[in-house]
Amino acid sequence: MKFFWSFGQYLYLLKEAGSRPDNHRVFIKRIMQEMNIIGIQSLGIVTVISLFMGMVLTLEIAYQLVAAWIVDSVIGEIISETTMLELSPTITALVLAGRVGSNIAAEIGNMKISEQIDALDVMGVNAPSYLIAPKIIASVIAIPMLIVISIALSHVGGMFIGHVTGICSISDFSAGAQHTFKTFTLIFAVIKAFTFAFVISSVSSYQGFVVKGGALEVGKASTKAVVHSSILILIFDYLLAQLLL
Amino acid sequence: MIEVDHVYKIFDGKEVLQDVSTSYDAGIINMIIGSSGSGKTVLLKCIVGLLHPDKGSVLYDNRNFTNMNYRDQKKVRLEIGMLFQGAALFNSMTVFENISFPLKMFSNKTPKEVQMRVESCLERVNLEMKVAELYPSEISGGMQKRVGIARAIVNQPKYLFYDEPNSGLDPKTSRVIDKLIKDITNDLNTTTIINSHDMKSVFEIADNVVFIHDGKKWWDGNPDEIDDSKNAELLQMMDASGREIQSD
Repeated sequence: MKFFWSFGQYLYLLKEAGSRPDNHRVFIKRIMQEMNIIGIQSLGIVTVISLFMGMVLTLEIAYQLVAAWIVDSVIGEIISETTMLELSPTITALVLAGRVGSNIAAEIGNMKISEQIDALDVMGVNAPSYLIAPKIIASVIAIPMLIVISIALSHVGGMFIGHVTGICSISDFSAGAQHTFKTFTLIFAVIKAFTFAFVISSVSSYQGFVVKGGALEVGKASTKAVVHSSILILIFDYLLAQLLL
Repeated sequence: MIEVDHVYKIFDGKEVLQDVSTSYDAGIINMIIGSSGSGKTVLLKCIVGLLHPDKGSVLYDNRNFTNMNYRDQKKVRLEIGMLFQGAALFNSMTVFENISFPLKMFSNKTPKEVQMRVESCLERVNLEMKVAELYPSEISGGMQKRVGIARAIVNQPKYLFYDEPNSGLDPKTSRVIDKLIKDITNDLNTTTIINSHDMKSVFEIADNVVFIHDGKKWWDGNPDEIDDSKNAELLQMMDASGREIQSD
């Protein structure tokens, strides 16, 4: 019963967030600010995890596929497929659920308990539209970009470590990656990225918006935002694979 | 003028406000007093529209605020300024951005006009312009309250609300804030409603007092009449705070 009540409240909040902004100039400025927080400031962590993901995958694939009849370009093929189909979108989204999701829930939750959201309401500002909508829009723009960057960087990481350790040459790796490349795989990755971005930003905003109490509750809301977003990412990952592949 | 007409508010089956009716005139300071848990904050939230009364209505100059649609309510809200208990300044914005926020959201003023209006509001609350570049976390509690007042008056509101303006402040700063509220009310001729349990403020600045106890209006009148009131609860509150006033 509580689930349906919460889900109804979540949908109502999304409806409010989707209403016409009070001031379009301020709204666009807010989206830019959020793009910076969600996108640019996440670039570091996405770079690190993507490079290491590609590097580790190369080593592990080489460890498992030791046979004279296996051509070196297979490593590039496998890395390209796995990072595009699954690893880059899902792992990046899970990491961003921790970094971006907890940040959104804590920010909005703190505003709620310190009456800043009440202050917006009294001024006549539509708080969900002012606070939540720019975060969702910025997320669905920035997170797919981050995931595409992550796909590219995991290829770079894999190619680099393959070349350095002598597992496969850069040309073999590239040939493998190009041979297996399908446009739909990339589109599928981007569809996943949009879905995950919406889940992370909307679920975390909701968790922040319903906070009642004090600092302890804000901490709990942040944790809930990460846990719920992560579970939903995995559920949608399965559903999209089932529906689209 | 603001009229509260037979307002009820129920939480989890408990009537937190019961049949409260009162009116607040413009150009004077109206105070809602009562002990903690008496329902005064709920009443103030019902008046400003943060809570919707379960029964009854709130009228702003004969406009029924409670039954208005969102768009009409918004027009009234643009005539409202409010200072919250903890000032409720936006942490991520500087003092200048906080004060100019209502202007940037709802007016077509040029950046220069906004700058001039912010400077004038800062001057009105006795703060120097150098404070404008600081963040709320970099200024004292008393200064935060003053910035909150500056933000509340920036749109030249008709109705001003203060929720516990003296809470968390030392007695000296409390009196400074009281004087500021009185001066602003006189200058702008606003309908001012203060929610407080500071009896010293009641005797210093209030023109009209509404005493709330157990969710009901128990007494109203001007502060000079409190001594003559035969309301035991109000006199008890007076006695308790009287001792606090002497110890100040």
